[in-house]
Amino acid sequence: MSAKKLCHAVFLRFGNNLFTRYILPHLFLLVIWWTLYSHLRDGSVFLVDSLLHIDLDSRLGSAVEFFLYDTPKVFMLLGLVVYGVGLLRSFITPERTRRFLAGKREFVGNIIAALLGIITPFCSCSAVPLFIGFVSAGVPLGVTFSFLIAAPMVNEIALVLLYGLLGWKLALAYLLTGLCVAIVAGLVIGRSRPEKYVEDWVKNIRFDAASEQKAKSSWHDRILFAYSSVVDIFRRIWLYVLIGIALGAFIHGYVPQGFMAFVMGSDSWWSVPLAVLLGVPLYSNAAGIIPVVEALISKGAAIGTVLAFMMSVIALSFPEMVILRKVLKPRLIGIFLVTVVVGVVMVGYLFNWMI
Amino acid sequence: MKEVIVYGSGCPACHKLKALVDDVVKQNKIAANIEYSSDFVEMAKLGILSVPAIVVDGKVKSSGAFPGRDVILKLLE
Repeated sequence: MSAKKLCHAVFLRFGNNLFTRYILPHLFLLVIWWTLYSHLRDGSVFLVDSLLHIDLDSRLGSAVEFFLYDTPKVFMLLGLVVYGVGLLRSFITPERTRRFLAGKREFVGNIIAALLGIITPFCSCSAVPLFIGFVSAGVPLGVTFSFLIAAPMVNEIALVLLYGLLGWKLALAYLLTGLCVAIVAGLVIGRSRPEKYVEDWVKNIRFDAASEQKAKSSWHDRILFAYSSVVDIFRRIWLYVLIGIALGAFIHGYVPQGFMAFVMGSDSWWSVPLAVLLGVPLYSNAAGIIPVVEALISKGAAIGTVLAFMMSVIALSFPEMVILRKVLKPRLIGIFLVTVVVGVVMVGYLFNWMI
Repeated sequence: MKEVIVYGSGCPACHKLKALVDDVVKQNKIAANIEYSSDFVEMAKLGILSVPAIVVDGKVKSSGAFPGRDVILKLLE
């Protein structure tokens, strides 16, 4: 309702061709966004220093400034990226992804599946219909698993939060290693003769191309879709993000340096596997975990350990395993769990060793 | 009488959508029979890849989305 009205107000008064109607207003909004974004630091310093009269070098001052700077920054980044990915997603539906992956060979298929997992819209409650739909259409099992692992783990929200809070290097590291885990785990699963461990009733389902959902979208629909995905995601995660940033701000100002080094430092060999195992039963989305991760790192936790912890929290969830049990025999779920856990642990060691 | 089935895999969002469809039907006094189903075989036959999905008289009207009231009303017409 309101989304529609806003959309009409902004986009539909600019004549009829693609450029004046859609591209120009988007560029205009982007310039406004950039102007605001590049002055956030000035704004937060001004607020703390001149309006609230708190000393910026004090504990309270640095905590408040951190909060006032990070909150709008994270939300602005999220808004921009979720909108952009929303537009992209209106082109890449699960149906298209399936058509693209059907009959692809292993390896190449695994790579493409993991990449498509980043942008194809997916929520873990769709894991079963998606699994059946992919497998019945001839997507190899290993390739399907690459997709199922990458889709929840490597997503635009995780990447934006990592970029905003911890910098582009860690975001890139997460993206690349996350994709590697998904690709390699998919390949390993594909080699372990997984067909035997899929429930029998699933194998009897034949894909009927006539049943395929085909959606036609106009630019108007796509913009509406992108806008509503921003509203939808903000509504779901704003509280997690705020709590996370508040926690981060508190730790930033008050917790002594090096506090986390004891628990999650890189000295002890067992810290990575322990962090990963702790992360399996914990279930949170990227929005909830990344501000906490930032706080852990700023107080001396080792990057690799934290990265592994985060991947295991986001990628492996108990509810998803329960749902997948409907189509997979326990043994295949076990293989799935073990390969992903091993992959994530290796990522942890790799980063602790490199940095 | 329309036959409406909301497909889901038991996640909170899917149940919420079923309740919303119930509410829209009641408020607009539409003659419809609404059910909730987690039948994955049926979903596969209908070509549903993502849930929650709304099926009206055997036709998939929406899948993998959480439409608002006005959109649901349109789907039911």
